[in-house]
Amino acid sequence: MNDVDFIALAITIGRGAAWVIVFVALAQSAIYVFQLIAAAIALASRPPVARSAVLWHRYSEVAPPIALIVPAFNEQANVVESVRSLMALEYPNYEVLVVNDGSKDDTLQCLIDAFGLEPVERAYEAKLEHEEIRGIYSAPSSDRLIVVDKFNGGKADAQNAGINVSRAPLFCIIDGDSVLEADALIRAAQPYIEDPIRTVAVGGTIRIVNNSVVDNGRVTQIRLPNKILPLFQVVEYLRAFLMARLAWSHINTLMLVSGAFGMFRRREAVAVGGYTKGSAGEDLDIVIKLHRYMIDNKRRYRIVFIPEPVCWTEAPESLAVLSRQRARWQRGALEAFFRYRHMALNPRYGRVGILGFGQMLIVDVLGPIAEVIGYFLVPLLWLLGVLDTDFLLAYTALVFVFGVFVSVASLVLEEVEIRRFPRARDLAVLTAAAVLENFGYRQLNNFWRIKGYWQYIRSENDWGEMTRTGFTPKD
Amino acid sequence: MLQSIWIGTAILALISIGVMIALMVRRWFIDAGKANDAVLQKQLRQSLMEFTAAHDEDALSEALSQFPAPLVIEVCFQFVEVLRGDDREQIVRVLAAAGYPDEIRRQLLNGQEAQKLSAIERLTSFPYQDTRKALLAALNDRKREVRIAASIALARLDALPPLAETIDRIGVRGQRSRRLIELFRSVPTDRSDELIALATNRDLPDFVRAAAVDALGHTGQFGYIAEIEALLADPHTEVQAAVIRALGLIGHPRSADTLLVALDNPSWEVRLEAASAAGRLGLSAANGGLARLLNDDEWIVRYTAAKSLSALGDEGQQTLVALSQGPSSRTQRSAAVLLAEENRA
Repeated sequence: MNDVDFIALAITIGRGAAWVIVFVALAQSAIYVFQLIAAAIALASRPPVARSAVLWHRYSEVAPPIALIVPAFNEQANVVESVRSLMALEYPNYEVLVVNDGSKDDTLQCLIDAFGLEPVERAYEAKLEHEEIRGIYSAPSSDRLIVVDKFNGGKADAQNAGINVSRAPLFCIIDGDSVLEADALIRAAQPYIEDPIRTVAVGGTIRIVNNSVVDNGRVTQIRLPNKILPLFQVVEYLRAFLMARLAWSHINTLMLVSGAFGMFRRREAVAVGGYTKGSAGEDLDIVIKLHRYMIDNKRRYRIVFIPEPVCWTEAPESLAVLSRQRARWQRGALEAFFRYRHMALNPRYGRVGILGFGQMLIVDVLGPIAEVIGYFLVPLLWLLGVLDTDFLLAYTALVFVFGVFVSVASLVLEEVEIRRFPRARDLAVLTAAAVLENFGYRQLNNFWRIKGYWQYIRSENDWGEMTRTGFTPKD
Repeated sequence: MLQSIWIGTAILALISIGVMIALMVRRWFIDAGKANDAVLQKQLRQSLMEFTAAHDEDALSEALSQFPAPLVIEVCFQFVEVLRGDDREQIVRVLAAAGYPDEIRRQLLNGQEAQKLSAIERLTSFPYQDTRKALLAALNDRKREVRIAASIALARLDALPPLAETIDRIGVRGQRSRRLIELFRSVPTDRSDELIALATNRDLPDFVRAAAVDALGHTGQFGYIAEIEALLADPHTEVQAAVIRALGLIGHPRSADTLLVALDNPSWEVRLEAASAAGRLGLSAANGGLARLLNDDEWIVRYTAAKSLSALGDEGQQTLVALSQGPSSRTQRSAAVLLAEENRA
């Protein structure tokens, strides 16, 4: 093959690849448009949002018991404050079950000192496998707090230990560094009260707490983050929760209930084997397992997202920590997709198989690769004179503006639905962030996701350390 | 093609900018309105606080007339939520005399679902004929949650239509809300025969019948034990479990044999309820059956049986100690773990 032939072949391949990239981008855009429409319909037809005092009055007599499971690994910075806020939630019947997953820092000692914990015996069902439990502690002054101390086994392992030790028919998983709003449990329990037979899992909204004021385990003043990385993540979370989750929930195809805050029916969670140990995306994994179990057993069920119960969590503020988190999320998505590949595009699994997995294929499996190849290929084709400059500029502008449009639409949902940002100015700041994230942050994110791909291929299972800065206290 | 892309881009950009400007303007108006409302609410609360000290109904009535009716209703009901006794009754009387129930009934008629639900709950403070009429009309609302809430309110006002008719109006297809349990528990005890009629109506979903049995259990009445026990023949586990739970709540000695037999029921849900009832009632004849359940396949049944044995007193505790010292088995572990938990190992 001479040089001319080689260049012609390369150009042909490049053109083909470019069309594939365009196709993936269009498919992703179609998914976003679908999410927007479905989320808007879901909002229009959602049940009314009542004051928490009204919910208490209405539901406290029939509210089912809940075990609040909090896996904690090296969480000494926030764990006491988190547990204090969890102990003061407005719910008639719940217990807080902290699982210290072999922390290397003083997480356990902090808890023992703060709550005067003492070792106790507690009967529990050892149905799920996990690393050995070293001891169980409770506070003499309250039967509402249980602390399980176990050897380190990872987040899924700790969650499984918590499920085993819990006794309530429902359990709620939250991260040790998270703060729940006081009425979050009664709001999340609402689907279990109104449709107790079909509801097997409920997810709520996760918001970013960086720079907001946390006092006695409560977010007392909501502020936008004052650093650019958490600010971009606020926009991302709005898109993920108020658009994507709401939309997929509306058609009962919700594939992810965030590990930072999710409520599950214990019986079904145990039946599917609990959380998959060693999984980088254990929250995604368990929801897919629940779908599979319920469909295989021909049971009618609902996995629901409701926007009102809000859980606040600390977002990474440094590129290093954020890149590890995003690479892990990507690894988790790939693990789940390929672990349950028999469900993918399989009509036997209905909407979950076709739409849920189809969306994962486009957004999580093909999306980052197509976008990163595009970053290199499009300029290359332009340099080779294959791509017309005018066309390149127009297409690039469309992609960027469409990204901004989707973010703005999420902001509309936030403003109509939750309206937690206190000032009109915050909306302007978030709009600016939605524009700015397209210049650098979005590209970085895709490179981190490629890193996650690489880790998945090399079977690297490290979670990566999450560095906590702690909540912003009241002045 | 190129021109279309640019036009599409420009449209999207303009929509985004326009929407964000509209959102910010809207927020500005909302914030301004809220600030104004906050001032009014503060003044209104101050008037209510002064009333709880002076008890001057005319002064309160005069003060309320200075504020918009929806605001008065919202603030006054938030205020009376935390009040009991004379203060509460007097404020409600002032609201009634000033005609606020008419406004609440209007909200029930024309409001959105959330407003209707609140209006229903608030109307129960005004047990008049007009309220009953409005609530009866709400039984035909197109939203099921509104119909259930209206039924509960009517039951609290002792004005519930025949239960079969109410259920018919609420609609039973796909009915699963636990609020139905609350409705049945609100039914006055002198109308328990209607609950029996529902519980025995095989045309109704098992969830509805189980809820009716549950409510019968909560009445604690002995008069319907035979009918409740007869429901054990129902093929649905949910109903059977509700029967055993109800018998455990009623606690009549004649149900003891039924509870003992239920300890060996093929359904774990029924065994669980039976074990729980045996412990609650201190049924010493259940000692052997509970001991057998320490080897049940379901952990929660084993644990409940062990707790119930412990609750039986000396005899049950001796059984637990003896079993915990036996050869290693599931029974032995169930007994030992419970004793350890209760610090009696």
